[in-house]
Amino acid sequence: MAQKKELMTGNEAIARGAIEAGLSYATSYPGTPATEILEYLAKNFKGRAEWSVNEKVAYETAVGASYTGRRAMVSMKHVGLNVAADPFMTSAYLGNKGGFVVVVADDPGAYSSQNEQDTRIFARFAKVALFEPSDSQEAKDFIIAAFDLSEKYKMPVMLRSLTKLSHTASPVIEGEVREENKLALQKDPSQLIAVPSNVVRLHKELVEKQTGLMADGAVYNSIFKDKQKKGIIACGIAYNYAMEYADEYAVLKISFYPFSESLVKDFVSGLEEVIVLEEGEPVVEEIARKFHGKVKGKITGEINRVGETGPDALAKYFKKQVKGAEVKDLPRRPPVLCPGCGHRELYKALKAAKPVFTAGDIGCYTLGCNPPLEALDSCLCMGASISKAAGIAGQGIKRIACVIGDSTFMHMGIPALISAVYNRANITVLILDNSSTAMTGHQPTPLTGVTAKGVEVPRVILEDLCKASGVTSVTVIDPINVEAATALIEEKLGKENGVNVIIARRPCVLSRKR
Amino acid sequence: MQTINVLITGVGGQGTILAGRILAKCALESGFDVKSNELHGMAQRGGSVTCHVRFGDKVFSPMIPSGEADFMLAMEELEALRYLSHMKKGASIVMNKRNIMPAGLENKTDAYPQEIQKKIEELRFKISALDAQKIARDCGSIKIENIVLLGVLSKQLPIKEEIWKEVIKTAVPPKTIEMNLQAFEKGRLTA
Repeated sequence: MAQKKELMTGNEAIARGAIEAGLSYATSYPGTPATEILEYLAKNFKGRAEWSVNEKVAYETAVGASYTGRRAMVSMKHVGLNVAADPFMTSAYLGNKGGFVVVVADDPGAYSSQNEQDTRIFARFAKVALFEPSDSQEAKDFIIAAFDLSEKYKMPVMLRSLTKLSHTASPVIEGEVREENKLALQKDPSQLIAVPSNVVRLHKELVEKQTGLMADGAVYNSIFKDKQKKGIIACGIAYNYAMEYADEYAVLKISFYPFSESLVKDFVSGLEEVIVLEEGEPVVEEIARKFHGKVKGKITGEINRVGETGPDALAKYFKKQVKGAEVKDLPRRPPVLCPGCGHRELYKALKAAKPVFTAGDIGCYTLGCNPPLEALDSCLCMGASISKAAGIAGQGIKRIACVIGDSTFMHMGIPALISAVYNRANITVLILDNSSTAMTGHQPTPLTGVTAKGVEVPRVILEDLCKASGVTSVTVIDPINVEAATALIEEKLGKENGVNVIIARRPCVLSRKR
Repeated sequence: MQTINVLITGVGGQGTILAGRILAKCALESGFDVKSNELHGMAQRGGSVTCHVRFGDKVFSPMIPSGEADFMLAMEELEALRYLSHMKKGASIVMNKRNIMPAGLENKTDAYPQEIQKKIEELRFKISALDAQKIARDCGSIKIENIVLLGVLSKQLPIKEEIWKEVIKTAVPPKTIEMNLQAFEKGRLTA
């Protein structure tokens, strides 16, 4: 009898794969398009599945769990890996005991991100293996393979997802759930302590592991070649786009890195022309160019260098793209702050108080940069608002404000606030406290006092945290009273007495409705 | 069987994604290979939402290549117009006769395109337009307009009525099953 197939999104399949692999501990910080991985685990996995305050903490917690011999997984969006880059780079040297898998979901096209960075380059930088699935079934299968490989080589193994993989449902055959590893925490100072006397040796060991990784990973890269004269090299999800043309074009499917360059060399030899299709940077294209004179792709300009490659890139290249009936100049439908959202009222007050510059941050409230509010003057990365404001104010410019959400403040805002207080920055910090991580779907934070699994825990008190950071002026307001908020912000902007914190507290309208 | 491409479009909060999930599940239960993509980055905040559902013997790309959608289920008129370039020549469109003003244009009603159904007909698409919200209200809740529209579309797809009903039963809250099945049937009757 055929096994029962279930429809699963890439994110669900990743989570399901981890459960089947005998997972013991999963950590994450919410971020589109990776959020649903941990959400699925919090709901369907009996073991530990938790939201950490940021990706660095999530990463380190998972590393620690793997030291016990158990299997651990951390998941995040691509820019989350920047936050976790410090433990990531060195954990490649030190490795792990139980299997340790790092799932990173990239967002080519930046549907809901601040950049388009390619995690494959990060994997190469750290010299760790990376799987790149093309559909949900592969996502599940590769997660299991990644745990095995991680345990075999005692090093982190990555899986790269993409917005279009994470949020596409396709059939998956569920498998048996493997038992958890036994607890086996042991000291191993020559391996687990990154001090100068160890690291160069550990780096050498990491380099030496590469040959084995390439050999073991070779089965995941495959060639579909008959008598075709032209070829497509397709990475991860792009395999789907290439297979639409498999009659005319030989296809090299890349699902695993690092791979031996001879794979590419053998594939391109004898072909008249080679097209490389990959989401992100021209990583494989650069390799292919070494072995063939007629390689088409992002470097040569046939495929768009930036933005999402998607299914239409090949059609465009082959001039097979069908243009439907297009109706031009339609009114756009941009996302907006919800009706009744407290952020909007706060922005009205902030604008009325006329700051010289307002440094923004990442969250729903970033939408305040759009008309008609146009209340923000910058948005860089998680937690940057306070530090940017301090930098501007440090040049003697007065009336500098910054805006940060409560979850973002917990993520990376605290060190910035302490640094601003310590260095006597004259800034007004507005913490927009809607008591949840609203943008990604209302995940709880330590300020909410509920865990990912819905267990109630003592709440961290935001105003106490600010005071403990050395802020002497902490005021809590309800932004719905615009007049009072305006007067308060005006007063604080006019002062040159260090850091003033205003907490604008109003629970998210959507979570209140629930 | 050649891949059938269905594009579902709507505005955040209209049940676009649930409609896509129901269709994808029905296709799977009918023995097809399926891929169903949801583009919902900022959907909750009143943005435009699309769902690409593809089914057939073997489906590769998760996205419908542009100009290759066979069917459109549009929950809102402007969103029907917006994605016409994804449609095959002469494709079939099921459209909800509902206008939702984009945020920021609430006071400029003339910015909203007029006579959308006529425009679509002039471009030679097959269109079934109906006030699904009214039918949904008659069934007990305006929220189930998506199911009414699925009912209309269901007459055009190679999926059995029983499968649709079974899947709808499992996809909606238990208390609303009767209401949803009624909405589905009323949709089928208008088709």
